[in-house]
Amino acid sequence: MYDAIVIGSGMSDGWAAKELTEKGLKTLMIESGRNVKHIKDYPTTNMFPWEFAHRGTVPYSISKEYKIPSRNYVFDESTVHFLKKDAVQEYIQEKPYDWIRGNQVGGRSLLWARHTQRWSDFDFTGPLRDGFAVDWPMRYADIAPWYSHVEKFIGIAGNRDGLATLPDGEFLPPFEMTCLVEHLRDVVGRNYKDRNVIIARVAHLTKPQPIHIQQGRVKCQNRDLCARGCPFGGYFSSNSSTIPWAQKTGNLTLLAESLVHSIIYDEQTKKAKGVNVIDINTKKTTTYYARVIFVNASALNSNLILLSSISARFPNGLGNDSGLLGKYVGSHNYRGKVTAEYDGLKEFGTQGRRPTMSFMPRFRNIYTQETDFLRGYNTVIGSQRGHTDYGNDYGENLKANIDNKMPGKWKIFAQMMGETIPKITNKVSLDPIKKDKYGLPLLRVNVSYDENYEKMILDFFGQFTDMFTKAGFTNIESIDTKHNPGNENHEMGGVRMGKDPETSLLNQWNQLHHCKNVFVTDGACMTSTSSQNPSLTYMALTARAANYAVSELKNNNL
Amino acid sequence: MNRRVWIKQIAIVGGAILLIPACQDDRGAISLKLKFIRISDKEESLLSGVVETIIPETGTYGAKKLNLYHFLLKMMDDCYDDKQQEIYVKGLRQLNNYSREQAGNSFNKLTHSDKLTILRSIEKGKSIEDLKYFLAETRKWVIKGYNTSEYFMTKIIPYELVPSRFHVCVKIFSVS
Ligand SMILES: Cc1cc2nc3c(=O)[nH]c(=O)nc-3n(C[C@H](O)[C@H](O)[C@H](O)COP(=O)(O)OP(=O)(O)OC[C@H]3O[C@@H](n4cnc5c(N)ncnc54)[C@H](O)[C@@H]3O)c2cc1C
Repeated sequence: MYDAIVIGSGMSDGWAAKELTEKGLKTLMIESGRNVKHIKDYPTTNMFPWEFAHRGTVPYSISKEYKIPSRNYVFDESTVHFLKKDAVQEYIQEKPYDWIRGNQVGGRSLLWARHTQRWSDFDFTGPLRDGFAVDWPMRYADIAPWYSHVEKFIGIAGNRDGLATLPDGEFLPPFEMTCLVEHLRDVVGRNYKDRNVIIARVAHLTKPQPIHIQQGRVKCQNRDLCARGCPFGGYFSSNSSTIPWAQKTGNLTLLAESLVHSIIYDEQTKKAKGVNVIDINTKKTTTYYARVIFVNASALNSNLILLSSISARFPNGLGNDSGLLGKYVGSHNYRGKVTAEYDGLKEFGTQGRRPTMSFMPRFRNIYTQETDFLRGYNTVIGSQRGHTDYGNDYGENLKANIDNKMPGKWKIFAQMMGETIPKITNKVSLDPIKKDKYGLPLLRVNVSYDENYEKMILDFFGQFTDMFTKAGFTNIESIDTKHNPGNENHEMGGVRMGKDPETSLLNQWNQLHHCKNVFVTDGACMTSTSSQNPSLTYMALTARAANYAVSELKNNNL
Repeated sequence: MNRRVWIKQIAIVGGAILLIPACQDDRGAISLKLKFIRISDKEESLLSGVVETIIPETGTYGAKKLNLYHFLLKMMDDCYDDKQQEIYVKGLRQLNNYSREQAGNSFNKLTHSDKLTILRSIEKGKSIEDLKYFLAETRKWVIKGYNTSEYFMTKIIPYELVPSRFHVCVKIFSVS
């Protein structure tokens, strides 16, 4: 019997484990993938480019086992071992959907791009104002202290920009913008009152504090090879930070290669009492018991576990009286990209590398509805002075270009990150018959784009073409990547929070309305998607819920 | 393992003469083991001729010294499916015909500058889709093999594994 069980060991899960174990709870963390120890299990981290047999490309015999993640930008010879093979967990795509999954201790916290934006009340009040989904059962003020709590521990490099749309946090020194983006910032500043170009806020240690040193992490060395796992602990991952921290308390038991099949509901106590766990290697099922359960298997897998947790009381999935479990699944709109070149700033270039980019917070529909689509988009802006163009020639000419030490043109790109509108028709459900090799029902995923989404892409193209034109950029190109939903890595919803048990699954503390000792604090809980990167908010919600759970346990309310 | 190479090795090592005729065709063995792609020693030397034309030795190392066609063949053998590999090899096999048509001789018999002329013309050629594919893939991987070689990344434009810095705006040269 444990005090707490945490399902999964990824980004939000690590936070649940850290908070619960620090407060003295004997906690069992259950992860379906293999164990990955910080540094020791980062096999590619110190490899030079030429040490990769295929210089980054994943051989076909391997990539054909990773058809889904192979469409993601992070997939290459240096990271493939941190992604889930298609066959490890099959799912049914009712519509094309790229479900990008980790399969190890640390989950996707090893792979992420580390962008960490706070949400503001413009995000939390979105559904209420614009009449979609349901109202969030909380506001910025409820979560702000928890943002601070998380930020101080993981370390965020950022600038205090003082913007209402993007609240400032607890920041380490920011990274800097390239002179090209400074130029864009000035042009944008002169032409638009409501638009700001800032440096992105990222979970990197630009100036480690004692709390980071205590975690064994040191300063970010600008390798920009993060997704291989960082030997310096320069960015935040569960492996380098929360999990070893929780282990140091002596209260954490980590069970890897163990797949949670379902949560067991006790009809007598009207609470969950434990979980059924399948050993990946022996396929034997064992039951583990605890007083509180945190479901953090990543958004869609948390949906799957709850849907699979059937009992006489909950024939349609745990806590699912409303029938909304698995519905209102959201993604982010990352399809639009605008690229350009710049002929100016010829005598300047950049030197070294940087694990981040610049950023334009959302400016559409902030105070009033002003476009023919709802909500808006943030934009990530990357720029560098490229190498001399290789051109199309062969032989001596080509080689002279490759060997040339002079830089070529400045290049810049803008990548949209749009909010989407969760809808009842965007959903996941269980296949009634088909099961995977471990006996878990196959998840059917039915998530697609809508008109709002398409209109937003066009607006993004238009706005950035204008801004880039004003900045004097050339060769401006709008690119629709046509990525499938899911490819942006930000799947959310299905177990949404809300005030009313009839229209939501979770209350303001991320407890199932109808089974109070089960907390869902990963992406599944999100009522709306905002346009900000979501994981900082998952972590803050998790820390908040975990501390609430601890106090409720103390008060014998669970 | 490449079956032909294997047989040749057996023949040399064990003197197993009996085994040879069964599998012998007019193709000689090539210098590295491939799992899927089957080309002859003559095709291998044609390929290495193309590779050396794309990245010749100049003041800096060229394809031959860096063994870039081995890298290229490894990429084609490991990273493509059988259909792509088939088109690739077909394209390679079209090169000598194309070269004879355009320049009156097989590719490797041309002078370096005629070889370059041939390569440059392929892009604009008609009804030679496989050859175009062959050349585009070859060019891509030969460049990659070159600019990510240890030689290039230590001697020509050094790569830093741990840069520890990002200077956002350094003066690199003055424009007149
Ligand atoms: C390339 C990439 C870039 C990204 N960039 C950003 C970014 O810049 N900013 C941002 O905010 N987010 C980013 N993300 C998203 C971010 O990684 C996720 O939001 C975050 O990791 C989610 O945390 P989680 O704990 O819910 O799930 P995960 O980190 O995915 O971990 C879930 C864990 O649960 C395990 N699990 C699943 N099912 C079971 C089961 N039944 N039993 C036991 N264990 C199970 C999984 O194996 C996994 O280890 C990015 C993701 C990727 C892949």
